Amino acid sequence: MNPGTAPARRDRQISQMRRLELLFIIVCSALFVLAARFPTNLGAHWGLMTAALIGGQFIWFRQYRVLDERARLRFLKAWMVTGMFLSNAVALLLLWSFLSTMNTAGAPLNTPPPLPFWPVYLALVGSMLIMWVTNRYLRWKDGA
Amino acid sequence: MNNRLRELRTARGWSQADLADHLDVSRQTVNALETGRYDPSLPLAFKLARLFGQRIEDIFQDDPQP
Repeated sequence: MNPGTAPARRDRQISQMRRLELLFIIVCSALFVLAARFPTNLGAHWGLMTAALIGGQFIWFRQYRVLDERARLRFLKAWMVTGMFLSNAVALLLLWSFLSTMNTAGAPLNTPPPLPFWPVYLALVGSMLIMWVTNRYLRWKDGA
Repeated sequence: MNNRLRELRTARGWSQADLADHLDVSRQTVNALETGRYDPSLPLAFKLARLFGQRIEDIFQDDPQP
């Protein structure tokens, strides 16, 4: 390898974390597909979801730890953009749901309005996409 | 911000990866520092100064304002 472009220790650690993240996504996706094809008990579903969430948080935390200061800035900016998008989307959905309930004749006013599943799901998926795109854009801008 | 990082690094015969290992940052960060695309944090600037045995202001020079 050209010594001018040889990876430093920090680059190798970052690459290892990216591989671990990819492996985690593949394993989780395979488990979700299996769980959907072969209905298991509720405990297994909850166990899988909890493990996926905790595992995802752990990987994000570890990723942040191995990043250097410049990459951490990118990571934080991507999370900031994602947070802004998601909080605005959820606020709009709540307002929309509230106004829809208000405009429905005979709707009970003493219960909270229902939050529709698909718009919330799309907001969450959209926020993850926005994080990925922001990260790619910042990496391109930084020449990393 | 202008700097003498490339000059100081090559004087020691180090590659960018060698300097990155000394600073515990990625090689891309060293490249961005050398080309002036990234200004380091104060802790990283002090680390550089200690590593090369120079004062921060001897390594980094502010661009003169037009």
